[in-house]
Amino acid sequence: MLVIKYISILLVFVVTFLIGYLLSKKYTNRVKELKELQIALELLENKIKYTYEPIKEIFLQIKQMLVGPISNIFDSIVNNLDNGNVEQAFSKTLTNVKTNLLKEDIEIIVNLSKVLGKTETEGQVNQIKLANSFIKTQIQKAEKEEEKNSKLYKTLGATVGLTFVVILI
Amino acid sequence: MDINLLFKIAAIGILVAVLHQVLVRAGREDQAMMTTLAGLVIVLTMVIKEISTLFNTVRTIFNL
Repeated sequence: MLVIKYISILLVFVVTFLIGYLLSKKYTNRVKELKELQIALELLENKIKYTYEPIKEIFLQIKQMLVGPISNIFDSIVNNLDNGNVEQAFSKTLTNVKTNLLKEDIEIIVNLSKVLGKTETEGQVNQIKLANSFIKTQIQKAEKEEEKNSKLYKTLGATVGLTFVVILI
Repeated sequence: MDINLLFKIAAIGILVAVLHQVLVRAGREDQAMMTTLAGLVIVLTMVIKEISTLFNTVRTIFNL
């Protein structure tokens, strides 16, 4: 009986610790994904500027160069491009693929997708530059939040777990 | 009275102090206040039985 009690108490501690850890991970991952997205946009800008490949080919190349959820986003966009236009493919993908990006980050990409393929090269490149500068400010914001919250949630998870353990013992 | 109760209260006190410090450092003063209050309530519920025993003992000593 005593063994079961101690095991369940340990379980409570592990669970609260993990909750704290996962919450802190969310902030770290958002910064990572935003940086990845920035690289993706730079790649897209260069490809549009210097090559005249169709957008599907470009996305396939970008997908192979990246890792993680952003690569999944481009993969899914390529799949969705077959049925519907670019804008629909983007919005469909960004609502389905699971990332740590916030709504405001996704909004930037959706807004960019509205002009892709609608204007000449110069206009598209400028739009991508604009989106990239927006993402840069988002990265700064996300880094500030990470610094503030990541450590907090880790400590909070452990301490709250310990408090539960002490109360339950 | 169980001596373990004292240790338990001491441990909760330490942990609540740590929580308070962490939350204040992160700029969440209201939540820090809330955790302190929660700790106080938890400890109070733990000692309320002892307090009632104390009152009963005092009453029986003085025949009130």
